[in-house]
Amino acid sequence: MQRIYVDNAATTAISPEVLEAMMPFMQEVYGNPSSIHSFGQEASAALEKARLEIAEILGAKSKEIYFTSGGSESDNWAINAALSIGAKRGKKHIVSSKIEHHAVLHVLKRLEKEGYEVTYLDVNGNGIVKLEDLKSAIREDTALVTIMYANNEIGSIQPITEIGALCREKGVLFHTDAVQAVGNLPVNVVEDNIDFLSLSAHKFHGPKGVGVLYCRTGLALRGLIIGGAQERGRRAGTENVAAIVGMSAALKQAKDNMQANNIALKKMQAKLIDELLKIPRSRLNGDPIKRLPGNISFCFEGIEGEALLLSLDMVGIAASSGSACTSGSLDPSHVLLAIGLPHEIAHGSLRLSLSNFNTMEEMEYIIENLKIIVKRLRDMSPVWEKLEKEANTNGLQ
Amino acid sequence: MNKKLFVAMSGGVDSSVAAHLLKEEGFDVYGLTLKLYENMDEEILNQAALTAQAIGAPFFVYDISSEFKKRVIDYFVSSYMAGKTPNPCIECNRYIKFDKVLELARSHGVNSMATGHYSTIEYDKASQRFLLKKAFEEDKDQSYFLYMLKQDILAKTLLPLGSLTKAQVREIAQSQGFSNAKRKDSQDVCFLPHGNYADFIAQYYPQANLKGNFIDEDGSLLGQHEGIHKYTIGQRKGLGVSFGKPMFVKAKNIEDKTITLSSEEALYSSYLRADNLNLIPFESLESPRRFKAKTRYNQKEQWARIEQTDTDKVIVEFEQAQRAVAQGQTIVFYEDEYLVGGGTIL
Repeated sequence: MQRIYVDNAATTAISPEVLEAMMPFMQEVYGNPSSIHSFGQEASAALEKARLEIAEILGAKSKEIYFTSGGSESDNWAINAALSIGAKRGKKHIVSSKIEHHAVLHVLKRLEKEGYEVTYLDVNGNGIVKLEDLKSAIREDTALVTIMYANNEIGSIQPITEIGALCREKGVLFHTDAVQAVGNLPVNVVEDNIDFLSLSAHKFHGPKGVGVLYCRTGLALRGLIIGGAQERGRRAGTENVAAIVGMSAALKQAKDNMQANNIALKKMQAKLIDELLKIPRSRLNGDPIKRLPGNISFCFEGIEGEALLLSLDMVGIAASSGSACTSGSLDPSHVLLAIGLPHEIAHGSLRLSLSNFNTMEEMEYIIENLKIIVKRLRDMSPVWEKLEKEANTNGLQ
Repeated sequence: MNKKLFVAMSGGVDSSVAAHLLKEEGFDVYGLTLKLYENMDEEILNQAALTAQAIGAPFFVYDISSEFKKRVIDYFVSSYMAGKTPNPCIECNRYIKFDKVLELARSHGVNSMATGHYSTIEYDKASQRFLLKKAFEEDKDQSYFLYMLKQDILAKTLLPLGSLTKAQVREIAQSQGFSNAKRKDSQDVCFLPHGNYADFIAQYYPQANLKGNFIDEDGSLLGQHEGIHKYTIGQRKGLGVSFGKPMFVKAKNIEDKTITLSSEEALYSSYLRADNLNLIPFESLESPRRFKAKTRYNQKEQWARIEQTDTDKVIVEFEQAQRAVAQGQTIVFYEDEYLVGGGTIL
C-alpha cells in the first residue's frame, strides 16, 4: 500500500543532505567543544560556523543565536527572559493572542497564577490578529508582546512586520514563535523588529531536539541552565554538535530552495483546497491568501476528526487533526474556537501539511480517498443525519 | 482547460444565479464571500457556501473586516457626523469588494471575477475601452453603484445578470432549487440591517451628547432637536416640533450641533461640485457637455451640463433645480444607456 506523509507541521523527515552533513560529527569529530585539544577545537569550530550561518540567514549576528533543545524551550526561555527585563521596571502585563501554541499559552497561564496579567487578542475569522486591537492592548506596564509568526493548525500568517514596528514604536519587547515559519518563509529579525524569536530544526527537514532562541543584542538574557560556560554561560550543557550542524545545513537548504519549493507547495495546496472545497459542507480554515504554503486545514461537518484520521491511516495517509500536540484530547482546538467555529464543527477538523517531499500524484490519491472516506463516515453518522434533516426542513439542498 | 473565475457571493439570489450561469457557460467557477464585519449573519455565509457547493464550486470565506471598518464604516460614521449623506456601498465597491475578490483570485493564479450586479460591461473596439451599460430591466439597474470602476477592473469583471430581468433570475433560482429564490429584495446597507442609521451612529458615540438646536437660515433659534445623527437632509416628517409651516432639514453642523431648517423652496439647488471623479468611455471630458444625471440611486435622471475642472473634479449645472442635493452622495451621469461617469457631491 502507498504510504503518504502529510503531517509536516508536526515534524519532517531529515533530508539526505542534512544527514550527510551530520554524520562526521557522530564518530569522527566527536570532541567536546569546550575542550582545548584539537578534537574539541574541531567541534567548536563547526559549532561556531553553524551559529554564523544560521545568524546570517535570519539577518542576525552570531552572538544573538542561542542553541536550545527546540521550539518549546525557546518559547519558555524567551518569555521568562523578557519578563525579568520588565520586572526591573515593575512591568507585569503581557499581550499575546488566542491562537498561540501551547508552549506559549501554558507558560502564560502559569504566569497569570503568579500575578502577571495577560491580554489574549482575538483573531478575525481567518485567524489573523487585528493591529488595531494590539495597539489598544499595549499599556505602560506591558513587558512583552508574544505573537506567533504563523499558526501551526490553520497556517495563517500574522502581520509580523507591522506588529514588530508597532512594538518598537511603543518600546515594548516583542517575541515571536516562528517555529512554523522559519524554513517556509523569508524571516528577517531586523526588518521585522523582532527582539526574541523561537525556531525548531525538525520542522524544516533538520533533526529533532534542537532549535534556536534569537535574542537581540543589548537585551540582558537571563540564563536558563546554570553550571557551564556553554552559550555564553546562559545555557549550560554540552552542545549537541551533530544536531546543530544538521540544523544549519537544513536551514541553508530551505533558504536556497525556498522559492522553488514554495511554488511547488502552493500548486499542491491549491489543488487540495479546490477539490476538498467541492465536498458538501466542508470549509477551509485560516486565511485563503496569507497562509503557510504547505498548510491545508479543513472542517467537514458531521464528522469526528479522530475517525477521519484513523480512516486515512488505513489507506496509508498520515495527517492530523488540529495539531499533533492536542490530538487525543476531546476538547476542540482553541485555535478553531478562536476563529469562531462552533464546537460541533471544530471537532471535525483535518490538517494536511505538505513538504517538498510530497508530489502531485500523492495529492490526487489523497483527494480521491478523502472524498470516499468523508462520504462513508457521514453515512454512518447520526450527527450528519440530523444536519441533513435540518437542511431539508429549511429548504436547503 | 476552462477559464477560471471568482464569483463574489453574498448568499442572495442574484449572486447565486450569476455563479450558476457562469458555470453553465463553461467557466471553472470559484465562490467567495467577503466577511465584512463581525457578527455577520451566519445564514448568509451558509447560504453562499451551500449554493457554491451545489454547483460544484470551491467556496472561500475571506475575512477583510479590518479594512472594511477603516475604509467603509469609519468613513460612513465620520462623514455622517460631518453633516454629509455618505453612501457606504459606493465606498465598498471603490476600495474593498472588487480589489479583494481579485486579490484572492490572483493568489490562485486567476485574473477574472464576476458579481450579481444588474448592469452590463461591453468592450468598445473603436475607443478600446470597456463601457458600463444600464441593465436590460431599467428599474433594477445598478450601474449607479459601479460608476467608480476603472478600466483595469472592468476588463477583468463579468456581470452575467445585466441582460436578465429580476423575474427571470428568480425563475432560474427556483428551477435550480436555490432556497433564496423567493427572498425579498433588500435595499438596506449590509451593516445597517433595518436602515437604522441613528442607532448605529449612536453606538459609536455612546457618551456624546448629540442634542442641539434647530435654527432657521438666518440663525434664529427654532427649537431643540433629539440628536444631530437622527436627521437627514431634506427630511420633513418626525422633526418633533411644530413650526406653523412645513419645514425641512437643509443642513447639519456638527461643530455647534445645529440643524438648519428651511422652507421647501430653499432645498432646491441647480449647481453642485463633485470630486472622486471617474469617467468610463474616455479619460477626460475635454469640453463641457450635456448629460442626464442623478444625485441619488432612486431618482429620475435630469439634464445637466457637466464640466471637468480638475483631474478628479467636475461642476454640474442642472437645467432644472434639484431637491435636497446632499453632500457625500454620489452623482452619476449617463449618455443614453451608457454610464459616462460620476463623483462624490461636495
